[in-house]
Amino acid sequence: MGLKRLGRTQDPTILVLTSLTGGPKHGYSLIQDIQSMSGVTLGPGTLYGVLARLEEEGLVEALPVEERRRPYRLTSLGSAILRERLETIANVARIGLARLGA
Amino acid sequence: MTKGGVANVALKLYPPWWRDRYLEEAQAITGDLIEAGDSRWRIALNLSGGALRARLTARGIPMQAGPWASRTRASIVLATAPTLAAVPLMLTIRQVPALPDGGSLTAPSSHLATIVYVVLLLAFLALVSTIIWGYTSLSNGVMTGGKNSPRLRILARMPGYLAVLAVGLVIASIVIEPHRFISRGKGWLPLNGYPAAAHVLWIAAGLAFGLCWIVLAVLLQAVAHRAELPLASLCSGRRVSVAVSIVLWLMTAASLALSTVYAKKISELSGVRIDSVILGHSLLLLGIVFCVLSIASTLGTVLTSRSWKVVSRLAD
Repeated sequence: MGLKRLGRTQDPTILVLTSLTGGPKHGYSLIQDIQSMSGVTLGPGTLYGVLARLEEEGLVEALPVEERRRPYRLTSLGSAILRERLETIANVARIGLARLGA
Repeated sequence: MTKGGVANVALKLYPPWWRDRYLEEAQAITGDLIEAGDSRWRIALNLSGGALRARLTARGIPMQAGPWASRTRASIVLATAPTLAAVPLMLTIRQVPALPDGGSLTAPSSHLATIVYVVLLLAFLALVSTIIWGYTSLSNGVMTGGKNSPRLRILARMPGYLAVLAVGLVIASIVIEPHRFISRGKGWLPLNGYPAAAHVLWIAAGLAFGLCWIVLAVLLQAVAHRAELPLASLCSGRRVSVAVSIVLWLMTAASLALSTVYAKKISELSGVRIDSVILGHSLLLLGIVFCVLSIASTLGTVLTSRSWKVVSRLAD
C-alpha cells in the first residue's frame, strides 16, 4: 500500500531485462516471472512495447518461434547495460538504506 | 472471433508492421492470460494503450521503405481527415452574424465581428482550396501508384466526379430557378423559371456533395491501409497536412474570437434577440470542436514530418 503512494517505481524495461537474465523466455513466462519477482503485473501491451524497443536497441534478441510463442534472450550488450544500471540502483539502495538506518 | 474477444479487437488497432512482427505471439499470450483468469477488458485496455504508443512512437518499426511509407500515409490521413468534419460544421453557420442590437455595421463591436467573420470565411475558403489541392494530389498518386487495384483507382476518381456533378446541379438549379417575382397578397409569385425543378436540383446537389464526402472518407481509409503512393505524392501530402493544420487553427481562433465578441456585445445590451445568443453559443461550441480537430491535425502533421524524413532518407 505504501509503495502505491510513490506511483510507478518499477521500470518495466529493467524488469524485463532482469527476468531474461534467468535464460530465454517467451511473453507469458516473462509476465509470470516478473510478477513473482517484483509483484508487478505487466500487461501484454506494455510488455510488447518494451520488447520492441529493446529489440530495436539490440539489448534483446528474438529466437525462433516455438508453438506460436517466441522466446527472447538477453544480448551481451543488454547484459552489460543491465549490469551497469543495476549497480547504480544497488548503490542508491545501499546509500538510502544506510541513511534510513542511521 | 476467438476466445480473445475484445482483446483481439484491440490487437487490430496496432499498425501493420507491428502486426506482421508480433501479432501471432501477442495472440498466444493474450489467450494464456485469459485462461489464467485475467480480465479481457483490462487486457484490451492495456493493448489499446500499447497500440497508441506503437503508432505514435514507431519504436521497433523496421528501417524499410514499405513500413515507413505506410506510416507516412496513415499520418497524412490523420492530419487531413479532420477536414471531413470541419467543412460540414462550418456550413452550419450559414448566416452573417446578426448583430445583437439589430443595428448597422457602424458600431465598434460590429466592425470587429464583421472583420473576424470575414477572417473565418477566408480561412474556410483556404480550407476548401487545400482540400481540392490535397484531393488532386492524392488522386494522381493513387492513379500512378503501380500496385494499386482498379477498384481503388475508381474510388480515387469518384469524389472528383461527384463534386463536379454537384457543382453542375447547383449551377443548373440557379439557372432555372425563378428570378422575377410579383407581390401577391402576403407572398411572392414567380413570373419565370421552374421553382419545383430547381428545388429538386438543389436536393440532388446536396445528395451528390454528401455522397462525395462519404466516398472521400472511404478513400482516405483505403489510402491509410492499402494504397501505394509515389514519393512525390507523400511529399505533397506532407505540405497539405501542414496547410490543413494552419488553416484549422486559424478557424479555431476566428470562431472563438467571434463568440467572444458576441458574448461581450450581448452582455452590453438588454433584451437581445434569442437567435443571436444561440449563435454566440454555437460559435463557442464550433470553436471548441475546431480546436479538437486542430490538435488531431497537428499531431498528424508532426508524425507525417518525422516519417517523411525517414522515408526520404531511405529513398536516397
